Amino acid sequence: MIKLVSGDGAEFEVEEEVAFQSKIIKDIVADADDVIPLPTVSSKVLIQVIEYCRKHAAVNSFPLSPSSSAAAAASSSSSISYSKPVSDPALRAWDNEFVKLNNSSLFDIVIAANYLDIEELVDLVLETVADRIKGKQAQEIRRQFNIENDFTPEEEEALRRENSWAFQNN
Amino acid sequence: MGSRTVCYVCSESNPCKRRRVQFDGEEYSGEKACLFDRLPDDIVLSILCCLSASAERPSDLVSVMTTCKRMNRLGKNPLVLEKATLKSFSIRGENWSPQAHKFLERCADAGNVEACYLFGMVDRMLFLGDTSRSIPQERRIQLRDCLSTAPMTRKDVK
Repeated sequence: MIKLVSGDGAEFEVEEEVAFQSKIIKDIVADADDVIPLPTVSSKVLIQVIEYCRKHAAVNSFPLSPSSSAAAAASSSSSISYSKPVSDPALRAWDNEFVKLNNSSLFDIVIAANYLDIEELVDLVLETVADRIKGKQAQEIRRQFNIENDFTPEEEEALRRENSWAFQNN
Repeated sequence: MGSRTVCYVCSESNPCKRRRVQFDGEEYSGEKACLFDRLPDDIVLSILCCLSASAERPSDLVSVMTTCKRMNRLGKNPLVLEKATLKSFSIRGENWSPQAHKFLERCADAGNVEACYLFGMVDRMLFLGDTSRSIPQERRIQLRDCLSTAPMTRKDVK
């Protein structure tokens, strides 16, 4: 068992294969003890991340042999991979339920997942956020994510002219 | 990956200083702060990459780029433009404009294969009949109708 300690001091005991969904924890455990402080992750977020890892650990529960992990490292060497499909449809459906959260919670999760280096979770959240942006007008996107319009009226007018081609019925 | 203090994305000499806010869910709920302020540039870039790689119409990417300055800057990043789908620069001939052409050129410069092909075709069309000089902007617009019909069979592009 590995003990994870959230930023607000809550302790979570999780099985190794669950914790090892995070590459960073895997590396830490390799050369340190089994209590891992995660000062930048709040317990609320950590609970959600552990829930995700538990589910995915149960589904991909094959032992990571040195050869397969080396192959995985080689295949994912090119920075970020996009829309890597999760093969299992049941897991895919579970993921879709998992991300039914408000934007603020999703952002907390992606920050934690990025910090913990859980690639699949990062990709899942990024795709979800991209889907929420897609097909909306600028004003809707601003409202949805509380984006402050920092353009001057002149700049906005220039942008409107520059981008009008994209809004005609193509 | 990990937290970075200096923006490696923008080539400008001074790194962008985004306001970083405490990312604790509870503290946030009532506040009217931009949610994206909490995300570092590399994560926002990845979101935009996901968006451009699955865009179904030109406005998908352009809309988010017109929301604020940061999005506008990040949306022009070659990483994003390189992944833009064909649909994100599919423009009907009659809507073709120098601005649309500029966008296509940027995507092509970023190494977007679809954009390179389309851009090459466009330039090729304009060279027909006159290969001696560089193409003036007005002539680029002349090809407008060619993109919606079969470009190679048009005879009237002069």
